[in-house]
Amino acid sequence: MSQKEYTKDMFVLVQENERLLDKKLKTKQLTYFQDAMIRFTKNKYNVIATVILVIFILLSIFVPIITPRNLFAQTNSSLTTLPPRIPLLENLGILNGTKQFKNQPIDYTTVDPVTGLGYPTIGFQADYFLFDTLTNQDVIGTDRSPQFRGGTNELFVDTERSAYAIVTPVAISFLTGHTIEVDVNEIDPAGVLKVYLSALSVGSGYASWDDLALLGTITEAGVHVLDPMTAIANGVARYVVFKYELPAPSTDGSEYVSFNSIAVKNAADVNVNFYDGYPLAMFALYNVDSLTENGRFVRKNAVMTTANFRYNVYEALFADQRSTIGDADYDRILQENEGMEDSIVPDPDNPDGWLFGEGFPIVSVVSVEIISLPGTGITATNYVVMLDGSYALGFETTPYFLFGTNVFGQDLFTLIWLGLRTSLLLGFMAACVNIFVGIIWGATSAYYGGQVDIMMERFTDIWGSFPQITMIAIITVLIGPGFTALFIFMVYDGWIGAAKVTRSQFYRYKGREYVLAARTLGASDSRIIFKHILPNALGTIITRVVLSIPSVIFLEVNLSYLGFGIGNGQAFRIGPITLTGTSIGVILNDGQQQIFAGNLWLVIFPTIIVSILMITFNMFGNALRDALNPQLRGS
Amino acid sequence: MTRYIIQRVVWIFIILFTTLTITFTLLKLAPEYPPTKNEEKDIWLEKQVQDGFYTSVYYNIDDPEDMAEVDYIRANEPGVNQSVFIVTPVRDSGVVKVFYRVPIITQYFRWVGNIVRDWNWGTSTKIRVNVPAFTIIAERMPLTLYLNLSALLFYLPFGFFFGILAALKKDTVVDNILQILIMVFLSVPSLVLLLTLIIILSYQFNLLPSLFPLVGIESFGKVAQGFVIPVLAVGLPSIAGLTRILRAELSEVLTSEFVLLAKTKGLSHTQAVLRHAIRNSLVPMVPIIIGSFAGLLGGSFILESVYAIPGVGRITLQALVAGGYDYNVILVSSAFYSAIGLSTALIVDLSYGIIDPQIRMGARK
Repeated sequence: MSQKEYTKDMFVLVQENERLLDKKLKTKQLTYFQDAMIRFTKNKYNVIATVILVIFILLSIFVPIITPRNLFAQTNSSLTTLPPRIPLLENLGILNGTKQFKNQPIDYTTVDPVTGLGYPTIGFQADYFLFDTLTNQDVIGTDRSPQFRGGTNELFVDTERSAYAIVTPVAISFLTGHTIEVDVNEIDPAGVLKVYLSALSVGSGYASWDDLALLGTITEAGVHVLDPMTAIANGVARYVVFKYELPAPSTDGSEYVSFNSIAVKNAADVNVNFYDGYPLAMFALYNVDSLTENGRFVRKNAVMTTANFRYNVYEALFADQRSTIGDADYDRILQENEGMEDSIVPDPDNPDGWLFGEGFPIVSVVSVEIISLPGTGITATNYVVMLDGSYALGFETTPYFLFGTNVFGQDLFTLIWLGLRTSLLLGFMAACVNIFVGIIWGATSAYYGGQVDIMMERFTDIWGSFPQITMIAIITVLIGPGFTALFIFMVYDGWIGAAKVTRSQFYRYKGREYVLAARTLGASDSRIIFKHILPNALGTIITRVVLSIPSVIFLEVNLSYLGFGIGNGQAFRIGPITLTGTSIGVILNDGQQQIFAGNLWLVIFPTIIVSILMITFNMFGNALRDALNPQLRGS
Repeated sequence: MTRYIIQRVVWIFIILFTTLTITFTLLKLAPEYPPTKNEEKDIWLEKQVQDGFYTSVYYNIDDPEDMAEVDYIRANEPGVNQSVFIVTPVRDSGVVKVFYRVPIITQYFRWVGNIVRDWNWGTSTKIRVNVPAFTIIAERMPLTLYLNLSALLFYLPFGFFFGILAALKKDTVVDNILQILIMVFLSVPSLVLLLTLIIILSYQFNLLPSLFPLVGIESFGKVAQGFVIPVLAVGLPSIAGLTRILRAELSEVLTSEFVLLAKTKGLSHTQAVLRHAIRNSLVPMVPIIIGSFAGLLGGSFILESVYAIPGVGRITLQALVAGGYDYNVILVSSAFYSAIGLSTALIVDLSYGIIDPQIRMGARK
């Protein structure tokens, strides 16, 4: 078998004259953070959350700057608790500046004979009701007020007393044929009801009950008719006294007589005086001997009709107001507003008056009256004018308070962003302090290990087991509520979490070869910690910090709500930034007191904003974690 | 094992002791706020003398020399109304008393002694004057515990149900909806949730009371109604949390080989999940559930304060009204919260070992 010969000259060296170098990578090289950025933008929901978060931060910076200071920094007594009004949405019938009122006592004269519905008139004007939302309901109560009607009035005798009496508020002139009609609802059989005529309105003028004229005695329930003419002559005015009398002092104060009504009728059986419900409750108490007579006169089962309705608060507040002004004022207004005089046009509906153009304090003149002062020959001119409602309150047109106003008349929209700014800044600062202390603590603890680690761990154990409420107590007692206290609450144990993360990360990396290499080359401890180990652990730590911000804001909201943080009227300067005492917690606290006044927006809007903030913050934090540490995704 | 438990219990006592020591020292650095009424103040300060926190000197009001001395003290003593109190004669005793607070270190040892010997935690100065502070807190403990237990009983079944549902229907519409709800309920502060519930259930539909009913006056039904809103406010975020953890655990277990084996044997998916997967996913759940009890309790003071529930948290906040601090009540409630937190932590640690034998407690690696 012959073998093929391979001689040396059959071979040629490849690349003999070429220099061999590393080739450039064909694909683009990415740093760790660029890589993270790509992963971050892949999840669309997280990007949306991040965008919302950024918008919130921008709003919290710029809204308080743009809004005029007088709308949120001072009390505006004329603008209190205006409901929210939002452009565009108002056309859909929501958030249109109307406010739901509940349980408002109605004015009984307004009851419509067709629908049977009435509405209140005190504080409300009929023009601005949304009548299709009006409903009435009855409330049963014991108030001695004219809002409550009907019901019974009960005269009790107190414990260890034997009688008590009531008297008509006015003296009644009795004519021939007049009768007194007493409608008794219930009477406790232990006692009797005696009816007297008294010449005096108080019992102290008499020495004994025998000095009064007794008309009759009532022992059972029902309508009883008494004739006053048996005791007095025609035309004499007398007070009528009703006395509930027990044979012996009461042992438990439970004996009573219950009246439906008391009436004085004339010969034609027509009521001359009629007392029931509220008028009856206004009967004065009457006693001859204050030692044996005492008791109480209470109202039962009285009914009040209340109304629920929507009311257009903006139109009512910013309506043009009729007013009468003198000629001096009128001329002054015309002079002060340039172009006002030129904008006058005659009023087509009213030959006596004229109209002005838009944007002037006076909308129109309704009529002019010229008064000449008698004897002097001087004449004064009075103008009956319609004042522009918006202008009177300092606005050019009816304003839109997007989130309404609070009890101090401040714009809630601005206040929320202002509060959010405080909350966010405090949150960021606290997170920074936490991360700073946490990294140093955790790094030291893990890097040195051994005894140092055990000691530092035990310290964090004790420190971390302080109940939050105890810490609140200590700080409140020692330095009182305020910015400093709030900040200490936020950081006193917040760093422990960061320290734990840093410690576990350090344990992971400190035994690696590159650390050993660095140490062999003579690197100092701090260089190894901060230059070689920390950058590896940074991703996890950053995520941890971002995810801790919402919980810090949580804490701020809770503490300020409880009054242990900041409050209205405080301010705190950090360099160029001034933080106000308004925060979401403070706004919520103010708002909670308004829930049952029906001013729900004061709670709803801060709630929505803070919830969205928390949700987006958490989504942003999770997205950041997924991007920086893909191995932790979804946990 | 026994050694480990003993070690842990001793450690708990050390932590509790240290916490209370720090709290005591820091609180006593601040001025004292005795009861305001003269007679109550007298009784309280005399009790303090008896307990060893104060010393007293008596002066006769009819003796001009004595009175001159009292006036001198009133004018020149730096700690008047902070650590030195002058009590004008009570009734017709004719005795002016001056009380001096003893140094903090002495107070501290007497305080520890009183607690160890007589279980005497001192008397209240503001909440209910001259009533033992421990009684005040002890009276309110049941309500706080009932509330938290009802929250626990409410959230567990729902949490398990939704957690299992989410894991079984992973990556379907149901799961996605649950994920969104979890996100919302975990993010919204419980204070905000509580206010929303009050608005909806109490103001808008008038179904439930807007404040907690008065226990002892109202009927059982009314009180039970009062539990609904706070239990919901605490329970909903807890349900969300439990659902999230259970979903993560269960979906991990579902991918493991023994579930695959169970299915190969012929079990349906649901059977495999209910009989094999859930049991294994429960192992890490038990400590989390026990731990959540301490978490619920720690956050309950906000709830109690907003909804006016007369529990431990609310009374502690009342003891913290500016300028009227009630130190003894604060100390007892601190002890209460610390003790609950620490013992829960202990039970959590022990439960790991009992449930999962793979975890050896106290073992050196």
